[in-house]
Amino acid sequence: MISFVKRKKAKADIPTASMADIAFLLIVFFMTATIFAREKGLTMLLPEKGEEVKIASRNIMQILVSPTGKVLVEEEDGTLYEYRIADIRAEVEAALERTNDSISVAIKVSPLAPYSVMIDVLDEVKMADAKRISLIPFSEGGGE
Amino acid sequence: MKLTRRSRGGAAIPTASMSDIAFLLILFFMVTTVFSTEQGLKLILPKAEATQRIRLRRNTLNVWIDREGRISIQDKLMPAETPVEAFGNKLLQILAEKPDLVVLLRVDENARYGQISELIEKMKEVKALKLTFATQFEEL
Repeated sequence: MISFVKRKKAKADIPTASMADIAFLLIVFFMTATIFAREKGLTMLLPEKGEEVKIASRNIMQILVSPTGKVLVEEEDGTLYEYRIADIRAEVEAALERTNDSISVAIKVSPLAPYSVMIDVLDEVKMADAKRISLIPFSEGGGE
Repeated sequence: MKLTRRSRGGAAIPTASMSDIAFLLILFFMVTTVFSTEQGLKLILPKAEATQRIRLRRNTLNVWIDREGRISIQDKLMPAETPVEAFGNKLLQILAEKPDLVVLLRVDENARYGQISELIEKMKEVKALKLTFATQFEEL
């Protein structure tokens, strides 16, 4: 007959000594990988009511946005031309260069225009590194 | 007289379970922490390349404006009849506590500009002059 030999059972052991190390690694990983939702946007400093400064019209570059979202830019000779949003930056940069940064950009947006067009225009003007930007309410000084 | 020296038991604080206690504490605080976040309104922010981070978070006031023109500040909807007036009054209240307030306008990209313009004029009136238009980073 076959003899049954009782096998020696190895003790099952999970090594727990490095458990804490693993846990700390996880903590450190998540600490470094976490990004807190920071607020971000386009910043502006508004003038105080009644403290608006008059600027000679030759030092102002006007950008108008129509109710349908068309963008009109005032050129050097004072006439308005329709521009694509992507072309505004080059135009503002050229104007800044021409006037040695002394120009102010006035953005006048129709109340009916979508907000996103206004942000697109403001973004382009900011990317052109214009220092003086003003948002002019449509009621002042007539519209289209 | 016979003095017998008493055998002294070694004084030891068991430190093996220290880390367990620490983890329990960490877990407890992780589970009980509630971040104060505003619910706000449902909207899509416009994208802009010139988007910057805002430094001072404590001084920011979130103003949510959705495409229907509803305004929400600190999770309170402004009354629909006079939203701009209510916005101005609310601003004045908050400005009294935090003079360097930065107003963060979170406006839906499809909102009409007219109302935003009115809000900006109101901000000039109550001297809340630091304004930020919330945008998303635009990747090129």
